[in-house]
Amino acid sequence: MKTIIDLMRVDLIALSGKKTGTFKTMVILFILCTVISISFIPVFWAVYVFVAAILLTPMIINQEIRSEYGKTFCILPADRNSIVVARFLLTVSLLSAISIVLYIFMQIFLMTGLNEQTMEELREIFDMLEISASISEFHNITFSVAFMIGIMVMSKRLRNYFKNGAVSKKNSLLRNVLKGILIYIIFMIAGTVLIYASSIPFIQTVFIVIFTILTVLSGPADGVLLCLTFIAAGYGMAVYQAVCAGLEYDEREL
Amino acid sequence: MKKRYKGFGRFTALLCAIGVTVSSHTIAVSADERTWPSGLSCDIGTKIETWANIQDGDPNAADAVASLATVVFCGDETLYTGYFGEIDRENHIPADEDSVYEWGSISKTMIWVSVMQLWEQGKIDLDADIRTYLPDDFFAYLSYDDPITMTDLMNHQGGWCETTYSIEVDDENNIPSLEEALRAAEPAQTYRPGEVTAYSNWGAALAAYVVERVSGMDYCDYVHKNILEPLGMEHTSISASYRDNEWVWEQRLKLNSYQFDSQTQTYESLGNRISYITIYPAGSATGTIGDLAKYAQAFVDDEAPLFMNKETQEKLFSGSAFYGESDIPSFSYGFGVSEYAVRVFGHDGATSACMSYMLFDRESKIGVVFLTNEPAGNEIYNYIRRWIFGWLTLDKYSDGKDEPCTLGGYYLVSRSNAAGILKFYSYLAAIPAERIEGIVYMGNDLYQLSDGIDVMLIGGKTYSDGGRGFNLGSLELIYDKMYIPKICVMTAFFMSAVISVFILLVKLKMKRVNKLRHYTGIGMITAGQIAKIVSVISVVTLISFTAGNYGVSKTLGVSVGIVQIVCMMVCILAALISVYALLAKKPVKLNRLRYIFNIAGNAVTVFVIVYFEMYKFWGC
Repeated sequence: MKTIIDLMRVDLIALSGKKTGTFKTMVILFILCTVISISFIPVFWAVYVFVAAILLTPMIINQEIRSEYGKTFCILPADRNSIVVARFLLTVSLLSAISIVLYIFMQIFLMTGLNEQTMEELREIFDMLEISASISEFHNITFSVAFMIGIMVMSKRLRNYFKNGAVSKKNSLLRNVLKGILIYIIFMIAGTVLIYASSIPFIQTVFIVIFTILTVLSGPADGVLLCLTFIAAGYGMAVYQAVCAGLEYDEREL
Repeated sequence: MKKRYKGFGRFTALLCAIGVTVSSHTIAVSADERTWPSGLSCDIGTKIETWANIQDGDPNAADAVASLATVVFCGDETLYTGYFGEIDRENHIPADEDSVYEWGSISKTMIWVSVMQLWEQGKIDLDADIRTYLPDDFFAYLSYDDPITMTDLMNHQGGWCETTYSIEVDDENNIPSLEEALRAAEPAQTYRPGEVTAYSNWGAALAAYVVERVSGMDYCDYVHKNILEPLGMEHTSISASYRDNEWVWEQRLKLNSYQFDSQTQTYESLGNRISYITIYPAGSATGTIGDLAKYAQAFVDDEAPLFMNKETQEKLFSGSAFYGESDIPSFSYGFGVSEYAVRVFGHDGATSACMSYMLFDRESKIGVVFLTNEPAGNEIYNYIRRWIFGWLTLDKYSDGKDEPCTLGGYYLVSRSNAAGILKFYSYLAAIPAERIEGIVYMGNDLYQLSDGIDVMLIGGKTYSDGGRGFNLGSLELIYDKMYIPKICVMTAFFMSAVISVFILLVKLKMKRVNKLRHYTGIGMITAGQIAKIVSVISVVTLISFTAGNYGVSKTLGVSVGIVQIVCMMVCILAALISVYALLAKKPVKLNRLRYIFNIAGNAVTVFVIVYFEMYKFWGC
């Protein structure tokens, strides 16, 4: 355990050094999301959770490449599994900490009622779409979904890093951005096809079932039941990716 | 639909000013202008027709009704009769005086009339234990020894929760006798008799069975002889199969049911939706609007044509259950009591094909009956009842010393599946107190709830176990102080299944690269993880089939129950083997954690299956 903590410390020390462009991007996006959240709708902090999840891994990797501290791993008395566990623990902890802080911000701003006009408009949209969720439920669930998807994407990227190496072309930011855009386009096309296909009775039934389950589970205690399930799914995926990363990193020739 | 309802208020006056546009599918006999109990002076026919037809003139507007029939009366005088739309839109069959609709739960009022007829003959004691009238050992699943009286049944306070299984069959040949149907569908008795109001179809049908036993006649024959024939209701059927009146059956075949699609703004056909209610006295009456009007008019007739003594009718509407400690009735011997500008009695009904309403004011003798082939109802009824009977105002029952009150916690709805495989569902449908806004305390355990337009009376209740609740008329909201811990356990149940998915994925990955380390009980523990996932999947399947339906099929219920029992056994074994490994094998730190988490996960799953009775496919 001590080795893992030492390895996490190495990463943290490196992160506190000269800041990379990724870090600056994270700060700018944080300011942007905060401004939108305060002046428009607090759920925008959930967007930042997702952004942070995407940028955390490249930020650590870029820092490692820049300061070449990766070499220190060779001289530290640490096995490969410890390195994997340490990095996964660090990134997941950082994302969790960011999320907790932003969630508290979100709740505070929800309670202050500063964005009452936006909330009223949101309620009207819910009425129009016949969605029974309360504003609080909507915020909680959106936040937990953003966290779940974020942690899944982040842990997958971290696994790729251990699988392919820090300087691999497969891990380049451009490549990942393009991959993200491609996935987004596929999702949009699939979504459009599904919407058109929703007139097909079977697809319609599937939609209704999924919608019903989500509605029923999101009801109690402002959606806590569904939120915790999403969060558990996120952490579960992170553990799975960590195990896979450990196995793949072990077999990789450095 | 909701949006159209909201919007209507804004242009009602404009529509009235425009006048009447009568379509080819409208037949109406209109009343003159008069002042209604609401205080509104208008020609009710003009108002109804304006609403129902104005959109016919606009080719881009949505249809206002699938079809409806309504009668407004005052004593034995019919003030207005209206038929709108088509009962079969595909074949363009218009609604008219021969159109029959299902009356749903209005049928129950015939049970209560029958009971009161037998009461005035001295054949039924309303305060005697109904077991006096039933075969020995009729009940299989009673939880309380307390007597269940006929008054309890009339107030829906027999203590039974909602039935888990569907009370409808699709094949006429599968309709059982009333006794068999009652025995097959007996729900769990989850509340002490006479204590909690939980609207019960089963309890009402049981009262009909008592009528059968006491009168020595088949219930259907009894109603024909003592209600339909005396009132001249020749176009009404009572039986589950509609076949006690062949004319009604022929007419029923012509009726299709429709639902409004808010996306396309059109009515979609649901087909004829003919199904057979096994506990038929609770909801099988079917007939014309004319017959329903005759029936309703009997209750405002001072001659009380359905009873030997006028006093019996007076007792019927004297109130049998009350809000809090007040003298404001919430139920009157099976009839619903509603407070508008005046106090009105009646009942409404819903089947899978139709929606029906019957309301009458015994003071002014004005009443309205309304039938539609839209199972979700048609919003015009909300206007008709308000035009005629008005609104309850905040000051009517207030002494000016009202105290605003803030509620906390969660409330369970009494009319729910409080036992059996759907028990968890009643927790998912719990109502957070914070959503009950605008409640004020008026003394005598009486509360008023208002959204600024509508005012609703609520009675406070203290149960024999010290718990608190609110009576909303046909159901109650029961405070559950342990709701949050229970929902947390349920969350842990879902989470342990999600985590199990990833543990299994990890195990698969490790096995693929031959790095899966074997430890004591690995096989059983893996089986436990699969069982947790299967348990959640079966719960989710049940949610999917239950939402929006009245009950689940027996096949599904039994299957889910058996699956849950198997899952529970596997989880118990997995937990036991982990306990054994933990105590006997003294595992290293990581394995010790693995066993502890495994015990916790399995314990949560077993607890949830047992507490929420997911295994219990019988007696509910």
